[in-house]
Amino acid sequence: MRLLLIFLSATLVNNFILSRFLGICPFLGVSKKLDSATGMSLAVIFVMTMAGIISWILNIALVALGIEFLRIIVFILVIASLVQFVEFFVKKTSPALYESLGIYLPLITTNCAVFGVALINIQTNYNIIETIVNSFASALGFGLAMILFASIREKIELSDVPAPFKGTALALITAGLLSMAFMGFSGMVTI
Amino acid sequence: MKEYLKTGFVLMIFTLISGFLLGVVYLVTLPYIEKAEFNAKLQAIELVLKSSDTDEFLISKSPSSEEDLNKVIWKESDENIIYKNSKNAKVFSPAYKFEEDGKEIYILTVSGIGYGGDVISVISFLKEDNIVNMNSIKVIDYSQETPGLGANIANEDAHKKIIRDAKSNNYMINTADVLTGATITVNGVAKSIEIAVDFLRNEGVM
Amino acid sequence: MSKMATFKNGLITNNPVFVQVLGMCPALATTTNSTNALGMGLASTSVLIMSNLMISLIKNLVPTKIRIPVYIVVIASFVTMIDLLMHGFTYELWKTLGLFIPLIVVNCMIMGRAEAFASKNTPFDSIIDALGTGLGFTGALVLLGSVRELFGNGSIFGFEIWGEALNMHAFILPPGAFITLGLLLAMFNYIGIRKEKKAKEGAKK
Repeated sequence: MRLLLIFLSATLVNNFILSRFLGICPFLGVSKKLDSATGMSLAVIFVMTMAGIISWILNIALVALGIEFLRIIVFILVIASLVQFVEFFVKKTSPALYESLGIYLPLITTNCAVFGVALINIQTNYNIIETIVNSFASALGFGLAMILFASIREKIELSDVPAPFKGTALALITAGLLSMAFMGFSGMVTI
Repeated sequence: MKEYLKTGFVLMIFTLISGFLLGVVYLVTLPYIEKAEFNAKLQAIELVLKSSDTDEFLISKSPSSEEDLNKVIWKESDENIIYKNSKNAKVFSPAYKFEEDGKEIYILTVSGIGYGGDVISVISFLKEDNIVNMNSIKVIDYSQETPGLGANIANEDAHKKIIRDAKSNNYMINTADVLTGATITVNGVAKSIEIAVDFLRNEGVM
Repeated sequence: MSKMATFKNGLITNNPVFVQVLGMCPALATTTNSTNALGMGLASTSVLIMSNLMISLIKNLVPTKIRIPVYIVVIASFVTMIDLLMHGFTYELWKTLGLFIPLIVVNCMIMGRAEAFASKNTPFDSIIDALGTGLGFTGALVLLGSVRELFGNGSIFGFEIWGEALNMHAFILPPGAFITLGLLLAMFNYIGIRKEKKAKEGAKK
């Protein structure tokens, strides 16, 4: 039951992008087209889940050795390696996706969402099962917000918008309205 | 292959040097960190040691150092949590007990689930003439609550209302009155008071 | 580029938040009031200055193939240092900024300046660049934080300007962050467009 609550909380109530503000850069950068947004989301879901689990396991070693202050360095190196691996994999299996994601694939390394979920798992003292659920659910929430947003943005591209608002400014305001909609979930679950 | 080994080796050197330098900074800042954490804890305990009616200290000499606090530890456990209930409210280790002039003052660090996570408070209970009443409360961690809404639980007014409800209404907190529009956070505090009372009953104090 | 031009570049011309659209996560999350925004901005600036300096100093020792991981290790070390120092010396601010202090590591602005500038310029120039960019970042954050705090809470830096009456709470909540930043961005875009127009008209004459 608690796992279900963690799942719902991470995906909807405390949505990583619209509530916690983690993962904004790819959110604004890759969401212009639905295809690249979907591809990016899948890559991030994989990296976030794996990174969450691996960093949780490594954290046990860090605590045991009393070198918790090295946590930031260790976690970020784990994430960087995972992203290298995913890059290699995507290049081999889908060169088209690799081209369309361009610079944003290696930029998953500096994605606040991936690093954030690893830290949140430690901060909230989740056990391994809860970590897996939380990492996966947070990533799903990220993907959900990305895909919703990309669909909206594709339509907006076709509208006549005043010059100062073109591009990122309008995207942010739209994101604000989307965030307001997601606020309707607040209080739905309390873990 | 040799290329990879060489670059991997150089990276390892950089990481080791950084790790070493960080270790030095860590050792230097550790006493300051412990002091800052301790001061924050001490501040909260001192606040709840004052009577909520008269605002004067309930005991003659308030604790000022780690040793002072260690002397008055009442219950503790090796793990962080002494007591937990089904609603995931917790009582943290250690719990303190001050005794003076036939009065007993119990200080508990408790948490209840608020909007985004745990809302942690320090509560004091006063036992006088075999009657136990909640004296004071101080919410110390509300970082998971919404700034401007739930985070207003830190204000004096909110605290006064909670104490008033706890004392005159048998621990039933009128959540909408304490903080309109942020009842979930107040609910979290109410749950933490509930587990404190529960714990004291279990220990035979109440 | 002259020293002054480098500084101005980071501060205004290529402002990390309003022009390059980098560092969005802390810009939206830590600007619920001006004090937090200032704290976050200064912490990020400190890391930026230290990492730019260090990377510029070791730029000849780092093999090109692994420069990105090495930069990451350097930046992560300085972030850890700032985190430890804030924990010990500015406890209240540390508690409020919470998760976002370690998140300075993934602030694209820092890695961006390291790669684009510090790895190719002298230590002194790198410090100037870091100062300009960092202060530009801090300024943007404080602006955003002040607007949100003013309209959402009626105060700036904790000083009450007007009371509860005019408060629109939405500004402090997540939607308000997005919308405020969007409106500010639109405003700066507008200023930029008008400047361009004037320059064009001036050139025609």
